[in-house]
Amino acid sequence: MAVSRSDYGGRPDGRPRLGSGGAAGAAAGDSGRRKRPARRPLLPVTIAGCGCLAAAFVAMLAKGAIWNWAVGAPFAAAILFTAVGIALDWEDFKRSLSSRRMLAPFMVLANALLAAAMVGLAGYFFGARHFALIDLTRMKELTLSARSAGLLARLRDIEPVEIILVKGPDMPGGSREAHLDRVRRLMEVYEAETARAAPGKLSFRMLDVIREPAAAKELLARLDLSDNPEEIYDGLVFLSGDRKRYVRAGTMYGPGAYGTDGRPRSNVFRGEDAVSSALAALIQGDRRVVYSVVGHGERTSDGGPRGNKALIGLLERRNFEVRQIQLAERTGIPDDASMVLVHGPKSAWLPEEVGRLESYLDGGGKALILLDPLAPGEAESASGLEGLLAEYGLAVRRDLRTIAFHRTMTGRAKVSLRIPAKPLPGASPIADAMAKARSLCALDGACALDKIPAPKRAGYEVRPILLSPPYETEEFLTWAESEPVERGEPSFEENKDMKGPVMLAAEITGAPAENAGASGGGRPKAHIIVTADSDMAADSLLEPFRGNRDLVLAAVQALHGGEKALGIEPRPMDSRDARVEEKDLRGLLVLFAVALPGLALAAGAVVWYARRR
Amino acid sequence: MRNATAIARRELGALLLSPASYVTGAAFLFLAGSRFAFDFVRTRQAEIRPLATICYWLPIFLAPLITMRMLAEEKRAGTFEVMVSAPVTDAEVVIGKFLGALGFYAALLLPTLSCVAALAHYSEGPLDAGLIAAGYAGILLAGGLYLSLGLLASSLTESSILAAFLGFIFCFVPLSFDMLNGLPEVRADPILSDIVSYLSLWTHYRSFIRGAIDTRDICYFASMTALGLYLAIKAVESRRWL
Repeated sequence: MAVSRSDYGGRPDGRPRLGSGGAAGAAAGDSGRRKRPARRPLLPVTIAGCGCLAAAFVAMLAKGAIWNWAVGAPFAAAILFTAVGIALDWEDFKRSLSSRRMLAPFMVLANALLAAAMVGLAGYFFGARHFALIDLTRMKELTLSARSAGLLARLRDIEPVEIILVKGPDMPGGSREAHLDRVRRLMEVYEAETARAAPGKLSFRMLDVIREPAAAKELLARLDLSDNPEEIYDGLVFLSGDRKRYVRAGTMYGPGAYGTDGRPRSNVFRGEDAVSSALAALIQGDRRVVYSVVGHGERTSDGGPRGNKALIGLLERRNFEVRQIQLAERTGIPDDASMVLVHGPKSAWLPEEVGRLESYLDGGGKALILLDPLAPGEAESASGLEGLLAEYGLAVRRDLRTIAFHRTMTGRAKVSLRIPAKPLPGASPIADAMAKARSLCALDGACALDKIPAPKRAGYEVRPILLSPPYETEEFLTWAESEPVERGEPSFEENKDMKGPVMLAAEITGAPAENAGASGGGRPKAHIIVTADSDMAADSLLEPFRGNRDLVLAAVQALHGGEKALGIEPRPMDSRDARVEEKDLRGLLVLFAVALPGLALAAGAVVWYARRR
Repeated sequence: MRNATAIARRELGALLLSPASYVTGAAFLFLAGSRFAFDFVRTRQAEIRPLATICYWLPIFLAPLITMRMLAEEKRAGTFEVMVSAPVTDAEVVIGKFLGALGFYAALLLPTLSCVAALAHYSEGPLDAGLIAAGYAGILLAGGLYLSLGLLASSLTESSILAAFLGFIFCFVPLSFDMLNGLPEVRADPILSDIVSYLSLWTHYRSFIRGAIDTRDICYFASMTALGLYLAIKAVESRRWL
């Protein structure tokens, strides 16, 4: 029952009743006459008790156990100090245990449970549903890409992931420490984001192979790397149940912009890309196989700057296994193929080889085909794929070469093809995704693609992914030229050349009605993505241009079910290095552990002295 | 609110005029400063992390020491009735004392700005001001939470030592969820893991150390602090339930 303040009764211990005088001033005067309580050594006892509890807490953390002798002994001492404190303060303690006073804590407890439930629920739901994160770091290091954030939510579907940074034997040099620090900071971001997206599903720790040789040996055996331990030194190991992956330290870095000598000018940290790819691989489970067709001069991983080592690395980081295949020696595409890659054939395919690819596509196969314009004198050696693609409604004009000129004060100057992705009406979703990512694609000698109005195979549609600028803008002139551009000054000829915008990449899919099963009997449809230039996925252009990686990755992902997986732009990590040395420790300790506390004590002494006076 | 401000000023003044507060402050600065110095030299990183880490667990002991007498001692000495018979509400009394304690805690943090000066002095590049600001925001918010729990403990008893002991236990509760969060049994249960992770102080605190201001973390600290204060108000009010 609520009682008004004026009804508040007298004290059972015989202290003066309050309220009868009414005014606070009277009560204050009353309290002024009260004898000052006897001084008791409460503060030292309290500090000693808290100190013992602190020791118990520290022991708990150090021993990694909630209860053992190192924890129990200080905890018992803390209880002893508490008992001493209670004994010193016995009268007050006894009064607080009187029956009337014991009731209040129970009512507080009931209130506590109710309020805690309300605050907890409100905080959890409000916090989880409507939130905003402001990244105050200068380089916005705490903002994971949409792809990474999406992946973390999917960790709920698998067993908890343990990520281990394997610290190899010490080596001289500061770059290694900087690498380990970068990885640690990145993993903290992942840990923090996972704590929200999939609590308890990701943990990170560091394993020093020198200090923990037994654990390191066990880990290497689990990864089948006992004979080659250097493979994972300073790299990351991902374990989830019986699934395992590792990321080498080297794969966390990639070249930045290329210099005029063709060499990368700098290395950039691609840790987020590597970590997210490894997590995606863990989530997906088994690797998917991409068959890369060879035997017609296609690009391979050992082709130098014109090769596709970077593309294969990109696919492998995304849990694809790339296997080479010579169709002339096989009866067809193997059943475990998730996709066929045709990267820049230079000579013609045999009709049987085209037939094998056609059979595979007829069964709902997927292909990424990167073609080039014909080289001078190559007029008769068409790849043989043009006819197949024409059946699906896409004309590949390898006899044309898309060129662009920049208008200048004195005329025009030929420029490289740099195509910003733009959202296009009726275009592939890949175009929209790339436009959102502001991807800029770099091409080097592209042919032209075009739609065929009434193709042989019905039920397919061709949707553009990348278009060149229009023929004539204020700044540029763009068209697909039929004459060899090396000879003289090319000019646009209405009947022979193709005006911009020229289609440079396209997606061939089953038309929506067909996909819905309106016709075609539900037969799986081929899914093909074609680009008019294969150089864009070669090492020389794939690494330096994020837009090219975006296009290739988005194409591969579209072929595998549309998962959004544009490349993650590497962000520079802010350097927070300090020039502090061991010899500075003494000075810092004098300042922070002596001077500052000393000043506080001196101030306390002044206050004490002033109050005594 | 004016009454609460007046009480806060009085409490802050009382704390600043108490020699024991300076001893407590010196101990805090010694522990925080020495840990900062060792960690800074070891990591060679111009970050607030070493300071923020110690300011994560040190207030568990510091906050009950600051708040243990605030309500318990007043009740024991009989001056509490004087205060509540004045025209102030119980909520104003509790909030005023909380603000006074928070002001004292903020004053304790002021000397630690010299650590930031040291970071700036030794840093190879410009100091990341956003990171520092977010770190201090986290330290203050966590301090506020600890102080509210210490005040709750002080409101439940007339014995200062019991208030300190209870305060330590209360302050340890949000920290204990960090330990629970690491247990495999908890991690195996998604719902339990969600709840424990939300209640874990470290989950929310580390965002600030990393330089992020997340409304979810602010919501956590604000709601938990409000809970502590609400319960303290109810504990004070409970005297009239008898």
